[in-house]
Amino acid sequence: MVDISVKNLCFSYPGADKKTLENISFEINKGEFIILSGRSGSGKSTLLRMLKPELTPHGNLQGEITFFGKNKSDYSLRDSAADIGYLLQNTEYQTVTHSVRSELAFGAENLGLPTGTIRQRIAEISAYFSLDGIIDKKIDELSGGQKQLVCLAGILMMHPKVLIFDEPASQLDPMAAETLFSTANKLCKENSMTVIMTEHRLQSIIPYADRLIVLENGKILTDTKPSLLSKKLFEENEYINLSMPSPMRISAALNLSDELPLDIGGCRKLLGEKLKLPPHDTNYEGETRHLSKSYAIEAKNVSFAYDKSGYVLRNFSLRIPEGSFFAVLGANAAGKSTAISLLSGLLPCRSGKIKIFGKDIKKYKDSDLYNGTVAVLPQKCEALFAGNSVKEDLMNALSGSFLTKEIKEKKITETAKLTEISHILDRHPYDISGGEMQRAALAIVLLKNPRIVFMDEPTKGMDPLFKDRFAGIIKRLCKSGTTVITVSHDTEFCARHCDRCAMISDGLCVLEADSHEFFTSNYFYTTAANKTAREFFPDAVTEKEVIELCLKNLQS
Amino acid sequence: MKTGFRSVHPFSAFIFYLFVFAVSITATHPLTLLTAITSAFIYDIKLRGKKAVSFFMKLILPLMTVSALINGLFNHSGVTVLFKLPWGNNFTFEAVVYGLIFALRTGAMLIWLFSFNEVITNDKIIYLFGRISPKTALIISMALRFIPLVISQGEEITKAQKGIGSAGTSKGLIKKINSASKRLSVLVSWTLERGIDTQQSMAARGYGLKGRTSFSPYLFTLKDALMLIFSIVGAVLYFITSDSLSALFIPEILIPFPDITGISVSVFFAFLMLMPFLYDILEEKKWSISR
Amino acid sequence: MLKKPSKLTVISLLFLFLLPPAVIYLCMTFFDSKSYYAAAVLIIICAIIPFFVFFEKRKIRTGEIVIIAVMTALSVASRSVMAFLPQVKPTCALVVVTAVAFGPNVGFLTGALSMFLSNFILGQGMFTPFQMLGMGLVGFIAGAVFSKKKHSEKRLSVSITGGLLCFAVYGFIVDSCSVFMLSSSLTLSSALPFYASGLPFNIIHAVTTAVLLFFINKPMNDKFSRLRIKYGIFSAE
Repeated sequence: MVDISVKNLCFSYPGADKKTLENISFEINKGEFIILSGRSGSGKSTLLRMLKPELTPHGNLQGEITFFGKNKSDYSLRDSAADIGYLLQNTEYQTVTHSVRSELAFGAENLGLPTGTIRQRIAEISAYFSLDGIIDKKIDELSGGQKQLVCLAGILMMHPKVLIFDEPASQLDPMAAETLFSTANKLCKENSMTVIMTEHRLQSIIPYADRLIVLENGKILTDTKPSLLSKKLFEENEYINLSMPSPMRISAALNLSDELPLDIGGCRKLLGEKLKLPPHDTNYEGETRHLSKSYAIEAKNVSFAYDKSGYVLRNFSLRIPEGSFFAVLGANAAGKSTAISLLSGLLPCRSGKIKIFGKDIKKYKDSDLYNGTVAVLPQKCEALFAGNSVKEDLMNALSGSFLTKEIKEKKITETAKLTEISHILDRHPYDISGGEMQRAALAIVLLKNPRIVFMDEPTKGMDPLFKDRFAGIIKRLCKSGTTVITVSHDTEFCARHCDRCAMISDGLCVLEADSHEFFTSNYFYTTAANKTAREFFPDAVTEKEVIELCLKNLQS
Repeated sequence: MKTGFRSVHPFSAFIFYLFVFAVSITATHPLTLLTAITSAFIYDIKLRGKKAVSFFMKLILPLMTVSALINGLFNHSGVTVLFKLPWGNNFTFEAVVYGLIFALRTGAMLIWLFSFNEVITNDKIIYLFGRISPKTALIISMALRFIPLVISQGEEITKAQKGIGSAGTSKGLIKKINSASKRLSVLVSWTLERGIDTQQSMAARGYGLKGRTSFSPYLFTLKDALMLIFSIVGAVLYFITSDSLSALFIPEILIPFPDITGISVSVFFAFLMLMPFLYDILEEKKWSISR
Repeated sequence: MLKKPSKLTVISLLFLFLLPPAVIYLCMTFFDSKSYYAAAVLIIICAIIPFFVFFEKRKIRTGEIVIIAVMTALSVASRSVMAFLPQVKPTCALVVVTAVAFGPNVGFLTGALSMFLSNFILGQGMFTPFQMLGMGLVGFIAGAVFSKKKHSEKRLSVSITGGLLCFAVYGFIVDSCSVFMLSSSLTLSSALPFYASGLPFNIIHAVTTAVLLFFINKPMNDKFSRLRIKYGIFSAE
């Protein structure tokens, strides 16, 4: 049975010459789990919105969309509200009311369901999602993952047939994201709901998927079963090669089998069959950057507690070499963000010692510390934008200095070039994509000429291509002597790009090493490529390394 | 779910409070007023324990003193002149007593308000508002959702601006307000721009369709009906018998001893106003046995 | 000043100005127990309720609901960005800005709800109805005066009017509450001390509101005109 069918769909936004969607045709069958993928700006968000009449943007629309056999014009908004659930990516703002109970009831009330029915559905849903513990809570007492689940539950109260997820986990930590994905999978497989999802973290969802549709420049690049994804595309298409999970990339590159394995176990098995004998050459000599011997930051025995309820950090010691790209990793609530706030001076260091370029942090004045020495890129970069254009906000960042207008302009042009935002300087900060906003925020931070830049989860929600460009910008910065310190959950990103990594757990820095060494010495907290090939090549961390080593062994 | 008076249906509880507020703020006869303030105080102690007592000592007693003084100073009618004020007016006994009575009213109201805020929770207010205007009730609920968000974003902004060296360290009120208004501008942009997601989330879930219902988790039971009837009867009685339970203070103190009707009505009032307290005590007994 | 007042605005105004005398008359005839506070609260409730009832009846876009909710939350909670300025309360300024952009009815609602919601946090008190009416009227008047004019020309006049409204309307109404609560006789001489004691606070409140308005009026209007298109709301009221 076909739930939604799209035929020869073209769409362009008002005033734009370029078509956002071009000649798109596909059918969505009942009970399918479809992943819609593509880089930012490929039109995938617009396409998702075409599948939900209430959210369809204004513009020039051609082609035909049918919902459950009805033409779009015959399909009522009431049916659409009930049949098609749509989960947005913004965890905070898509919850509408203040309490869990009223949030659950919201959609059902809109449909005009009587109190008795709503009461029954709430009971049912809260049993299914085990919401009993939080049903009486206020929304703001929940974690991000819980908020997203409550939103999903609120949608399910309306008994939808199709669920659309628009990057639902981009603001969640990995554990919460896994929970959400497995819930979506359960709904698809057990309750035969149709699921359409866009998401950058393909590793976690691709094993669930029946179909993978990749968009590029508004056209469908490929529409296939994930395991049958063409190997040619891995070579030819940059996005596919960067975004697909490690097991798929490794087996595609080595041509391990006809069907690509979707999970780590499958790939490991194929790798074993291919290599047959234990490999003789397992050493990988990665080029490690030569780092300066002097330290930008030295922290010794730093302890911190927000109140008497307990230490967040205790006896925390860390040295960060000048000019390095340094990552701080660790589980949720391990104290990563607190550590960053202390090292950057945003929180006062009350116990222990922190030195910045050899000078005690307490001896810096705030006005000196944050003008030319340290700068912090906030986790939520919205906190830096107020103007009508990106350029206005960049200008504002320079308003404290006594430079002439020409010099300011020149500085902005240079910084914009470095952070690759020259093309969006005149756009409104809220009209650009998340990844672009992140880079614009970085530009604001860099205008202060800092020698040390702190970042809190900069790659959250970024698409893989953006991530690569972002990493390129950071590496250029580091080369010019700036120290960059980031907090991250993103093991793949850190393994690929960072110079050194530190692991924080329970308020202690438990491991600090060269990033290659860091990931090879971890058993669970490591990259997918390392997990895949660990028994053969314990030294390999990234797919590139695994593939190179494999080829080396197969040749000899 | 809470037990006791807090489990009473919001409508019944609200009407009860309207009744006690009306009595507290309009009664003139000391008997009625004392009933009101005592029962309010008893229930307050039940709910808040020691805090209720210290509130009474720290706020209600000074209030009575101040009110008595103010009235003595500004109200000069009354037959019993205690002394002459320096500016030539009379300081009368009646005015002081009237001031005390006045403070008793305000005090009773204030104490009742404490238990009101405990019993009529935000959810119940939203429910009650929803009866007059469902849209307003939704706005209140949404705003309550946004408030903690705005606060955390505000903190984020303050931190972020400090982290790039544009903290409001400048001196002078005008300059400070200027930098604060910049921050406010960031906050407003952030909230309003992201609010579009709220709008879309509402539209996606069918807000705006005709025939919206409003779900209420509250059940209206016989007990709630009784509570409601009692309160309405009380209010009606209060209006009818206001003559037999009224007193006069200015220019002369006239507190008539209540007749049979007055006494029986007072007993009923006392019973009614102690309802919340009795409700809680009885339920506590019941549920401690069943354990 | 109003070029083309909507029907609802006229009816709201009628209610606002005709109901109080009616209620006062009722209070005088039915109970002469001299509780000015009770009478005043009754009047206020009668004045406020029509706004909410009309708001309910009006056809309103989802975007407008979100904006009112967001602006109410901002008025209540935006003090979190001004921690180092304890004397400045941005509520009044934000209510005026909202009213200027979206008209008297939205202004009233935002003002009244802001005060109501502020009290959600601390618990409702005897001042609540007075604060609601006071701030609601500030929004209503600001909206009625400014919403039909061109936005760019009135930075100074909005700021001064806002300050005056804050002082004369909000300050006066809230101080009247203390008079009704604490004074047994309603004469000028007995009321004056209450107003006088509230004066310093009201002046600071009014001045800071005016200064804040001077700074935020333009950026806010820029934001609102952009968001009107994004939210799909095209005109004020």
